[in-house]
Amino acid sequence: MNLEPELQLLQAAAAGERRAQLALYELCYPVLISAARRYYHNTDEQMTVVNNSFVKVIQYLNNYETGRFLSWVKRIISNEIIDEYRRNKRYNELYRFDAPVEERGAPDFQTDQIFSHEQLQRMLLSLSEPARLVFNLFAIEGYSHKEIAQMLGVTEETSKWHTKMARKKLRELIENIHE
Amino acid sequence: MNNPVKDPLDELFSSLNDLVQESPSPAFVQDLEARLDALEKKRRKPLLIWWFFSALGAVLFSGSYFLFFSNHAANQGQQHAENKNNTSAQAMTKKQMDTTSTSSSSSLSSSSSTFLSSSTNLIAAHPTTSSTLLSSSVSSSNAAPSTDKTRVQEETYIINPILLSDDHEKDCVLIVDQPTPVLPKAVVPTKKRIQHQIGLQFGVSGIFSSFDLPASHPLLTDDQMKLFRETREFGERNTSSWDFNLRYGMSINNWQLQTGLHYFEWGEQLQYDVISVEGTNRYRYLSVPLLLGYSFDFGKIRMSPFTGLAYGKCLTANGNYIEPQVNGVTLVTAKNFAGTFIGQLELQYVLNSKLVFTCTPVYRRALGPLIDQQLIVNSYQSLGLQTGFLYRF
Repeated sequence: MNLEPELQLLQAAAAGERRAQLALYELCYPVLISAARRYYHNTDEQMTVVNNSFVKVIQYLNNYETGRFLSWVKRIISNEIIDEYRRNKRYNELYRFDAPVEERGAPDFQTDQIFSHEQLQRMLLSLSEPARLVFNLFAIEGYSHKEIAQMLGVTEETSKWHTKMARKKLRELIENIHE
Repeated sequence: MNNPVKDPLDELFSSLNDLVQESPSPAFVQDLEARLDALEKKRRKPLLIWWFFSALGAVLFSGSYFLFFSNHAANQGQQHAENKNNTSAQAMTKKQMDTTSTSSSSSLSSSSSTFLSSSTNLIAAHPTTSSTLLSSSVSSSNAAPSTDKTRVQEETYIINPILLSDDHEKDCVLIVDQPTPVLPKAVVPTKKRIQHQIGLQFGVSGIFSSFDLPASHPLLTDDQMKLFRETREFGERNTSSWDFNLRYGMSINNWQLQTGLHYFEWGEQLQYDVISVEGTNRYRYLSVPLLLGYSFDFGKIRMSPFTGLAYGKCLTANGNYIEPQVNGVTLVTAKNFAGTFIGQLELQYVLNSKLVFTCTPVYRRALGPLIDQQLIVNSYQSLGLQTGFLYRF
């Protein structure tokens, strides 16, 4: 599914036309809610982050120039989640590591089982908050450890360590489902 | 974003990026509408303030305009009437020097003359074309009322000489309760003094630059915003510029109007150590000011506070600032046309009837941000001193 909004719709939404804004919300909602669900259990928290992000989309719509609109929206919600994480002082939960963390080069995990989105989301949400945040940013959103370290104000090693821990936990969960 | 070697587990979970068509629930939409309403209110607020100040300015301007010109018209009317009275009085004085004059209320009543008296004018009832000539004379304050037929003194003002018929004299009623009204001995007409002046002024100004940054930005994290803000705070400093002012002024009595051509600059010094960039941004403007002032005279020295607006064209518009990601410079362009508020206190020393030396502290403030490009939003104000000469004609 890849639906980019028309320029007219963006202009009308930026001009403050409520109907256009709601139409744009309808279009952005799948992107926003799928991101929110990967980070938050609670529907209220999901609603807050989704709607705050969309308000920022409207607020900065005039600054949007080129590129894929939905990717831009995705970046906005990622930053909103990171900021929210910092605002709630969850930042301290990110354990810091300066010792080098060995990253696995070769994949040693294989499964033929097909998982639904709900199952994957449930597994993701069972991770600790810092591990979930880093794993989401690295594995799903595609940020590098360097970028994550900059965004979260931690070392690259910390980011790698949390990714490693998340993978370990997720593997265990998948193996449990197998059994 | 780079992730060259993908772990199969990561691959599995990245499938969560695939979007599923889904509509928001009514609760989500309701919450969003409340947030959008709040955003709309926030946006409208500055607009309302702007309209309020514009309306206030318009009211003040039109109020002062009408006040100034209505006073001016009233003065002219009064002056005109006084001139007329003086002329007729002088003519009558010459003609009626030998005629009997009634100089007090008692003498007026005894001769059955009728006058309706106001504080300054005597108005006759039943004026006719008969041969009886009555003229009221009003003595100066220290002159005692006299019943004698005396020649009218030079300082006596004769107002409204009126002819009454003998028949009507009986009907006339004197309504003079008040003491004899006293007119000033000599009424000096207030003449409108218009003077023009042209002049040249040079000066130096200190420019104070300030920038606005939103608390957050969708594409930058709080940390990135903080770093960007700090880098700009440390890296941008005030600067100075030359000013030049070719001016024309017109004074109507003590009111002063000023216009002309005004050259000044906005800008700041840059020294971004993190990216080893330094320099100075200069946005040069040539403006036409329109200033209104009022002058206070103290002998050879005159002090005139002025205020007004200038609207100008940008001559040099390009500038550089550090990028929000703090890894390079971004080019910006200043507004092509910009308004400026000007307040100045002009001190003049009159060298002779034609030449005046001026020394003027000037405060300027750019109306609105001069640079408004995404995260670079800069506003400016300056304080300077101009000196020069004026030629009056």
